[in-house]
Amino acid sequence: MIARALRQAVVLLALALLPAIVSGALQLGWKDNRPLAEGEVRAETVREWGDKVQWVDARSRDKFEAGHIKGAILLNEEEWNSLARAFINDWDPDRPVVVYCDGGSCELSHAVARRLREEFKIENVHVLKGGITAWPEK
Amino acid sequence: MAGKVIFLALRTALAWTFIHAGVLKIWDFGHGQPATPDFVIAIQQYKLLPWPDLTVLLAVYLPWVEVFAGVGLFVRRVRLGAALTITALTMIFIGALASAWMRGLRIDCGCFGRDEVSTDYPTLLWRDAFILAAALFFLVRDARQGAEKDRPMFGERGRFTLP
Amino acid sequence: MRLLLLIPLLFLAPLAHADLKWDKLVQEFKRVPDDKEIEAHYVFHNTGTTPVTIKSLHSSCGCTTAKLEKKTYAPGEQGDVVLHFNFGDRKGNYLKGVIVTTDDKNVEPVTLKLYVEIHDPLTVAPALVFWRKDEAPAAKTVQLTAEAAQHVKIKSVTSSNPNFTATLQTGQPGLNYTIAITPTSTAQKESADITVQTDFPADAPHTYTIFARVK
Repeated sequence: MIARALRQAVVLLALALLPAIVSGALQLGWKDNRPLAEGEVRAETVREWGDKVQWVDARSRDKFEAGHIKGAILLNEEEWNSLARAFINDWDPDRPVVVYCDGGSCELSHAVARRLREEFKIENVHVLKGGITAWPEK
Repeated sequence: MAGKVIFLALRTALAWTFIHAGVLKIWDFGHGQPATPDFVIAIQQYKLLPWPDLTVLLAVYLPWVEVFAGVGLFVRRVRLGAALTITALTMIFIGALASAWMRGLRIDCGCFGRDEVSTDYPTLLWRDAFILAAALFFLVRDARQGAEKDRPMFGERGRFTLP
Repeated sequence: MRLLLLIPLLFLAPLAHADLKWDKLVQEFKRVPDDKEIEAHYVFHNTGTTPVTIKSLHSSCGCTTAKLEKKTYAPGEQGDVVLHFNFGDRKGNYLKGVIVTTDDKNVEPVTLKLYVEIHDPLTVAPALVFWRKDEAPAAKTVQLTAEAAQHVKIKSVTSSNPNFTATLQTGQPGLNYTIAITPTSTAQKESADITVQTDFPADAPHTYTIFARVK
């Protein structure tokens, strides 16, 4: 009886795998084909820039400490005044700045990028499309 | 006769819960876009999986398992397995919720992480407990019925019949 | 016998009618950064015939919290969701939302919206001036402009590093100023924080920082 239940469960799991693979592939394709918003850049493009990228994490301190892209500096709106100095000290005008947040519908990276452009007049600022979930290496 | 109707209604409710839950995690109808990225973030907030790739795989696969398990409750050939899958899934959900509750995680918020009236763990756990009870009920019932009739998996008739 | 055990597990259809009416779903405010936070009240009435229990208040951001005195409201009873938005170091226009869901399937979730314009009475543009190594050490200027409705006077300008001089020029007092920042040399990397002391608000006057760097 248990064997029968397990066999049937395995059949269901196997059947579910097919549409999952299709929908997963479609969604990856969907992500790639969605048009870029102003200032956004795709992960593949950033990969081409290599080590030059200065990563900026626009999320909360909690999330940053739980895990962030290697080399990223925390700069969020909550603590902007105290975090800005650390960013400016590290900032190099010859390196592109890429700001990220969670991905999905998160808008924090756009807000931080906008402030960098408006308040500091830093032009080489981009927002990572898809957020941290689009960048697997950490 | 009344018994049959009530069991059918309960089976439908249980199946609908899982099919509905699965579909909503695949497609965000409200915004006309895939729901997977937001589901990935939701799974990450439980802080149970160490590898980000595993989170994405789970976010893509789990909703389909829910849909197939829900539908499977109506297919005589696999309904025992469907009940087992739903039981296992619900136990995992309860475990994840209880673990998040014990660690004081606030799951709901998207950005910075703190709600005043925060994740209502007791209600969610009670709801899942009821679902678990229903799933176990069908697991036991379908197992007993199956044992009585000794039906092979891919048998003579090969047609769908309503349980 | 088994039937009786099942009854509590059945999904019961809602028999009576429930409804929540909100006085205002959207509120707008204008504030200055020094206000630091804002509290907005969203009043609602249970105009239905059955009690309604608020299941969750889902905030779009941790900087915004929502509070309710209690969860269940009888027919005819009035309640008040208090939204509290902590500004942090934000400046600009913000829309914060809180989604209210109830236990009744007939009551649609509503989003309480809070628009806040956090405007700084003094605009410092740009807040960063920099020279590349070996670039000509010419002066770079920063414009400080106060809002017409709120005059802001600059009391002092100081440089944290003697290798950078900061000179204040007053346009219209209380309305616009220019600060010229000059490095003595750009031969190597240098940094200075230029601190601008103002007179607003009177009880705790704000200071602004301009970053000067040789990169």
